[in-house]
Amino acid sequence: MSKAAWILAAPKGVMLDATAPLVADDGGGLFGGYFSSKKRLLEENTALKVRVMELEVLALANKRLREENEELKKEVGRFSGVHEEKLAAILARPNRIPYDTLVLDIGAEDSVAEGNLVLAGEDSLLGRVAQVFKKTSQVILYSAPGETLDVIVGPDNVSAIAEGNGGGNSRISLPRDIAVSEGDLIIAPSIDSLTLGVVGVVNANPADAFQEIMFKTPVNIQELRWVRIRLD
Amino acid sequence: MVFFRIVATLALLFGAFYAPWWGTLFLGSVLLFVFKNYVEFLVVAFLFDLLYGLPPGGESLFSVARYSFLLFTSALVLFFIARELRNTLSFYS
Repeated sequence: MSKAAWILAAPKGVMLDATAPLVADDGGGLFGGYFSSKKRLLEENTALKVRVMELEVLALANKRLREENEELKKEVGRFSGVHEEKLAAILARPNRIPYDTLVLDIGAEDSVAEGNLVLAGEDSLLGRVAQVFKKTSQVILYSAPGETLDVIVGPDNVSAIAEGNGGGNSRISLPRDIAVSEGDLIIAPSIDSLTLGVVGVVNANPADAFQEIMFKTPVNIQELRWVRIRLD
Repeated sequence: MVFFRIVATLALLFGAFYAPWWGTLFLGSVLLFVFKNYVEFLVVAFLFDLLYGLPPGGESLFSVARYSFLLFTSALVLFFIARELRNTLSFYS
């Protein structure tokens, strides 16, 4: 390398080294997200499209299994049937109010009664109607402090009692010997297995005979606009 | 001053229906210092709790687990704190 070329190359190297962490293409740099190469974005886009396709296939398989499940229940005379449900808009929810309650826009005029189950999404059980007024109703979420519900935990179908902890959280206390892991489903003991939550944290202290299982509802209540009230 | 007090109370009432609960609490706390003996905040907080609080169910209305008067209790505590502080603070305008 000639002396002139070295003189030009030296500052370039210093500048490149200094700015490398800022414009790193791996997304780790300070401005990495803004300066990602087009090729990298295309690759990510393709990978996400493949993932969406995989999930769509999984959703279809899930739907087919659900239908098959219903048909099998029908065969043995335990068809859970189509329940009469009513759609309700949420007028007030936690975050705007400091309690684990919802205020819905339908009430006694729409045949809502105390004790009706409140569902969201595919089959997520949120709570029960606690008070009914003429045009509105108040729902108490199962995560409200003091609320208890019999549940079935995990693949071994362990019976337990879920207790509301407030702030959308509930907890279950079980003997430490029972195997429960994060991601296990918590369902209500009914023929149509309504989902109450997914195990989030398992606190098992070796000095304690019991383990504490914390879980949240599978749907985000803050993002919900509608819920379904099961009238029968 | 009475006019401003009425307008502030209407704003507080509007906040109780449309703003997050902590917004109502914050606005009420500020108004406690602005107006003397601002009991309207207690009334609004009590109404808020009656509207949105946990229904008593089979348990006692005042059971700790299902206590339904969180905002009213907070407002009551803030009311007495503000009253004491107002006596010791001087406002210049």
